[in-house]
Amino acid sequence: MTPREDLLRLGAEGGLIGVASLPERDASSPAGVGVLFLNAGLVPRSGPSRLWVNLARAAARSGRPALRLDFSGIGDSAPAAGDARFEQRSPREARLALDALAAAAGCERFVVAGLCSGAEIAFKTALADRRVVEIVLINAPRFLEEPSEELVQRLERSQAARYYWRVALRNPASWWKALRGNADVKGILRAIAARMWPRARPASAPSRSADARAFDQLAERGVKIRLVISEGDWAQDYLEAILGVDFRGSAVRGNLELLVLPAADHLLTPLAAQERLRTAFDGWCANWR
Amino acid sequence: MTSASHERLDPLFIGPPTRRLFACHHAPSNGAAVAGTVIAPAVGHEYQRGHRALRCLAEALAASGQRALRFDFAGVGDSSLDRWPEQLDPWLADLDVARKELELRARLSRVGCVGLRVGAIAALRCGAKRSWGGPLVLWDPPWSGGGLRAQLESAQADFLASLHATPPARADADTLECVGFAWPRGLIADLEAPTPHGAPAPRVLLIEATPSDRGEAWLETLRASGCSAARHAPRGGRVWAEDVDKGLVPAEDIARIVQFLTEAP
Repeated sequence: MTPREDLLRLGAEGGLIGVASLPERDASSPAGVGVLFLNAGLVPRSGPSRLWVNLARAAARSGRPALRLDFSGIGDSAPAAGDARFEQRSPREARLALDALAAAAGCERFVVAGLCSGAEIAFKTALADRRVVEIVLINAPRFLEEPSEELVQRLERSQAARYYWRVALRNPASWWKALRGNADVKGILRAIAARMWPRARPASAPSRSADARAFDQLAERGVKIRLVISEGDWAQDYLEAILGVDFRGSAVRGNLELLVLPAADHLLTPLAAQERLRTAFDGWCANWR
Repeated sequence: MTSASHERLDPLFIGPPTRRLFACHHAPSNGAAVAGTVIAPAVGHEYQRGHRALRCLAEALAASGQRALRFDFAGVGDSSLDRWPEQLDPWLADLDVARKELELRARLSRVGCVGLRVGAIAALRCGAKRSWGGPLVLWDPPWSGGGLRAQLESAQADFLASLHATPPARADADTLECVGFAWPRGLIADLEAPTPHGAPAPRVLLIEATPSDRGEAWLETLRASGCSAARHAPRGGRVWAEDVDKGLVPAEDIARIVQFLTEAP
């Protein structure tokens, strides 16, 4: 059974379009926490593989109002007026969506969930809005800062090594390509060596970064951060680099909680990955008060 | 609500309370429209990949003085339900709901249709039951390369080859997993059923990125029966198969569709 769903129009001239999934509840009971889902890149608000629709409806069935929003120019929303960059205007639009969900369902606290660039905006929204008590960041490619060229190169080497190690070495076509001299064998060997004997990470940089300070700020506010990462995704290496921690050792650190999804791509396309996230999401929902 | 200056865009839910369908109505900003077109989307991973192109098509139709209604089938996009039907009939009923909504809103008796991929099959079948009053555009119906099932299996194989590890096999024998969606096997079989006889519309345009024998034979049959039937080779390739974040809009193909839908019979 699909929960009740209402169209919401926000922003100047109602150009931003969202769909709210609303729980059955009597008017006297508090709405508690609402959930906001943000676009993953240019994917419309229904989410990659319709993930946001499924999770929003699951949230509503468990008593949490949920809104999935199209930022301006994406999905069905009108293009933005003015020339503000996406990174600047989207956190403002996300906060408009929180206002709209508060008005529609009476929520006072929020969980904001995003995938890829949506995770980046969810992070920025939490920093800017104290009503946000929890964020779900799925394969966040970055946070506040543009990664340095040195860091990008290091992470790209790590990504390449992972590809050679897990895919190319087991693919006969790759060996044939190498034997015919059509592959960068030295580069491959360097990448694999870097994977087998990783160099120590710089000890000082992470703690000074604006990203690391922002994570600290959210921790001080008590904001829960759920990091969902497809195994091998750029997001895992990036998080380890900017926070200076090795997530492979532990699933939980302070206000951070990690969920690693094996055999999943950046958009959580395999049904098994979607089902695993859905199971975890149901558990989180049950604890949102 | 205004969108671009040349159109009014109204999102809405249509259909009965137990089967609400999300739709977007695009109208010329001056309100006057000479024709109307229902836009039936692709489904599955092709839905989100084709979404931007269909929105741009609707905007272009409004700019040319037409009304357009985009909608999502039940179980697709923002429409109600979470599962897809075992047969095509419920989706044909959804398309009929969209057609009646546009006829009512625009006060037009001659409404045409553009269907993308599975939406094209639905548009064709719908027209076979009750002929479209306006022109019909079938945009890449899944007729080439061994048919829909072969195309889905090929898309899934390509996707799995891009992963670092193989996801666990699913136990559900009644569905075929394809790039994030579970396709009921009964629905696939129904979508592969023979093309219905008879003209589904007074004028037909078939767009195929990969020309199929089935498409050519169908056009010949239509022409033999006196129906105006044309073919268009898309310049923009298979936009419904491309990464969403490329943000591709097949402008030349959209212009060709608008021209076909707005030219005099």
